[in-house]
Amino acid sequence: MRHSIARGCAVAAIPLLGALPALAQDGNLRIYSAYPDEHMAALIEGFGAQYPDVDVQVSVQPGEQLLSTLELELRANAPQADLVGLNQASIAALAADHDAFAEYRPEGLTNVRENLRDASGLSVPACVNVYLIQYNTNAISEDEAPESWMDLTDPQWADQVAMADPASSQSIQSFLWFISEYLPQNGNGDFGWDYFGKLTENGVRLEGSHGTIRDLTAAGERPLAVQLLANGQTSANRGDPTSLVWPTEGSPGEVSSFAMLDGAANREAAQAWLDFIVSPEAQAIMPDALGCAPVLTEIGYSFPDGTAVGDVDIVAVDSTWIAENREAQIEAFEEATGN
Amino acid sequence: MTAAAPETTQGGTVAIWSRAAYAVSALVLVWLILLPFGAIFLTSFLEGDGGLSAYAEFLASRSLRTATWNSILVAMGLAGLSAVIGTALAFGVARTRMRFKGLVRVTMILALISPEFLLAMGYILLAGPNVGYANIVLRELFSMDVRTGPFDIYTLWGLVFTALPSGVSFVFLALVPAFGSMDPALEDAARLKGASPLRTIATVTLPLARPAILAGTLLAFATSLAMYGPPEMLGIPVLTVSIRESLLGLDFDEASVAAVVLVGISILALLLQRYGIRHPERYRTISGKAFAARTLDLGWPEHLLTAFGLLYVGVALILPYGTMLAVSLMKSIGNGFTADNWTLANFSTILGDDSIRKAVFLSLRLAAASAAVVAVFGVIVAYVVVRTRQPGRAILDYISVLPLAVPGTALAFALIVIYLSEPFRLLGFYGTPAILLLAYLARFIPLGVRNSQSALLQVSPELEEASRVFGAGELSTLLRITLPLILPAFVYTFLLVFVLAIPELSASIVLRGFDTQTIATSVLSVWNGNGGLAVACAYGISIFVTVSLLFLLALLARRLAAAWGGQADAAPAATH
Repeated sequence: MRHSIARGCAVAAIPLLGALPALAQDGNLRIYSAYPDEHMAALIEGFGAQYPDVDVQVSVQPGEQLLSTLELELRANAPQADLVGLNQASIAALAADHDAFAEYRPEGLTNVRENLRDASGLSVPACVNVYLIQYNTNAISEDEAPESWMDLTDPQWADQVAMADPASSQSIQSFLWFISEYLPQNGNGDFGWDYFGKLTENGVRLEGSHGTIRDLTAAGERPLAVQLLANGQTSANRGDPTSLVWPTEGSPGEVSSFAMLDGAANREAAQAWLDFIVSPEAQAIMPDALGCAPVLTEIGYSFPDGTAVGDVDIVAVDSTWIAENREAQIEAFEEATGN
Repeated sequence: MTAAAPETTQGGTVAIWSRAAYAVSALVLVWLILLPFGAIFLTSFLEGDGGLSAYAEFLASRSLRTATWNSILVAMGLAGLSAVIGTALAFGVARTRMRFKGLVRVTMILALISPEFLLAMGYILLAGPNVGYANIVLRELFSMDVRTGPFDIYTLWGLVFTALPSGVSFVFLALVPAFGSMDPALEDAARLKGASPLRTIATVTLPLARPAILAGTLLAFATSLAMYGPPEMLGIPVLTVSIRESLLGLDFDEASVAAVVLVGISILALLLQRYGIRHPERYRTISGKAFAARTLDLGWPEHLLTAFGLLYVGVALILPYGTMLAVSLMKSIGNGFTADNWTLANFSTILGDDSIRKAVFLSLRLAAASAAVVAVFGVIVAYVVVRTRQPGRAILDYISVLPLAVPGTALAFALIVIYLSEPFRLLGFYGTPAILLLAYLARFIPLGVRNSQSALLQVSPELEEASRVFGAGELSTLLRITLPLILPAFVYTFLLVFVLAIPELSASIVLRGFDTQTIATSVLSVWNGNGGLAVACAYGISIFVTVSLLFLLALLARRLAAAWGGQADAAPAATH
């Protein structure tokens, strides 16, 4: 009798188990994001087409502020989101201090370029965001536009340049690494922390986020900017009078990622999101969504100014190094700039 | 603060009633105000290496010294300019025949209730050194061969300028009643002695208005110290920004010392103001005689005052909000005021954005809840202070005004420290709207207590005594006599706190999380790239219009409540 009941329960459970993923992929999916709402919107729409029962809610903060918010919530043992959208280095930095994230490797991850994958499995790469120079075409002609990072220290551009403040922006850490570590170690001795001192002498303006810088450049208030590709893409979409320069020294490229929090309330929906992020469908819309280059080799892509990816010297940032040295980098930057 | 009603008249009932009110007041004030105060001070000694090490690090830090100095300079500059401009315009409106007085009054009120960060947005667009619209116009107008300027909003003076309208409003609103209630006999005496009108103003009128000038100037000073949005947007290091940045770096000892320094400067300013008016008898001009301050005939200076008033209306209201309105209608801020660059899409973005909608609802809920609690609790504390003889009621009175000296960022820091620590962590407030509500209550309690105290002091205790003599109990007297008489103040407090809580930024930004995004933090987020300047301007204009309409509603409700209170006033008299 007992066996019959058990068998009956098992049989009844089969269709229920089959329906489980579909049942689970509903409810609210809460994402803390350093990527702006307008960048997330296309991804949410694409995800919604596949998972119509999941209500995706996003809370956006500049990266460094988001890190602080997460840190405090983890201290309170009350993380408020299922997923976090930050760059790979920031996620690694948070993971170093807390058992905050759950390991998850989506099926499609094997199709992602190997050098972009997170070996720990804690973060899933979404796209590659590259640093470049953005300039206002009403204020500066293509002929006179600077060609290199070093050109930004030319007195000709005094009080014209803006860049993100490491106190607020997580991404700018990639640029700091590129200028202070990568270039000097690769034979370009003109660079180092002194570079930021020279930028300061040239009146560089520090802003809390790259989005503000994008608008200052578009308006002409700061017609030159150390900018991220994603914002160059947004400017192009909006019809802003701006254009891009790929500096001769190369462009550091960071990996924009998502990671699932260990205590995610809707784990199934979070995993579905991570599966979706590395799917060809999501990667195809990535330039219009997060505004950066897809991580799947099979997806064709050229930059918003028409430049082919192969024509740009993209330097993959060392996320591990940045994660380990972010506070020291902020201090070194403050010392170099006298802030 | 004078006790009026003897507690013994109704024996035990009164004593129980007042003891209960006293206990509730004390508990809530300790929880909402003393606990955060203590947290700030204790953290500054206990965090890091303990002792005075955090203070030593603060003194050794060049950036924190700069932030402290900037805070003081900006507050002094703002207070000084506010005193000069506010006094001139208040005098013009209250005592002269200058024109457009109504317009100046409305501007002052709108400047006071509109958040500083909205004005900062307008001024950044106007006075950005490279392509600020005012700079472009002036360079064209005067054929200036320069690439930047003449204005640069990204300076200390720029920061003073962005906060000036609210500072001027504080002085103006404090001075207009003071100028309007002066005994003209004093000025007449000066004129009879041969003094010119201007000399009379300088030697008689202005000195008599000193308490009001100092009160308004102190408010401008304290508000400037507490300001967070404009310095953050302009990138100018002041102490409020330092507290926030220290918290971002999870440097609690640095944040706590910055908060202690900030609170210390505010308290020092308060003490100086008290010292400045230490002989109140010298400034009393209201006696039993009925009189009204006379409107002076100043001649040509009145035209100057009119011109100055109009200039002020333009600079403080029309130009910044007009510029924001224009930018809010642009597709791309870089393509200027051209026909093919106009759009309403920025407004539809605001209306259609889920996160903005959530932020708006949360702000409205928080504003309503904090306004209701502050209004009710204000009456209870004021009752204890004014109508009972409970020992220690004066201390409650002092505690209730302490938040005036605590900037929102410092208060929010204290709440983080408290609610991340055992045993308060178990309440689970951190990251929820509850912690925002606590911050709002602490910030606005002084308004509730002060408004209710003023209203209670105006109600003669004899009315309540008469009620008791005719057999009414304590509660009945309170409900049927006292509360109807102070209803206008109650309603006004509710609406004032409601209007001020909606755009609260300085505490909200520090406590921002997934479910704690408010209107103010979301508009700052939009400005900081999550949408862009044009969308932020559309959002800002929407907030400005909404808050202005709510304030008009507040004034209307106050009048209606006053009329109703008047009827209630008559009712008990008829009954007895």
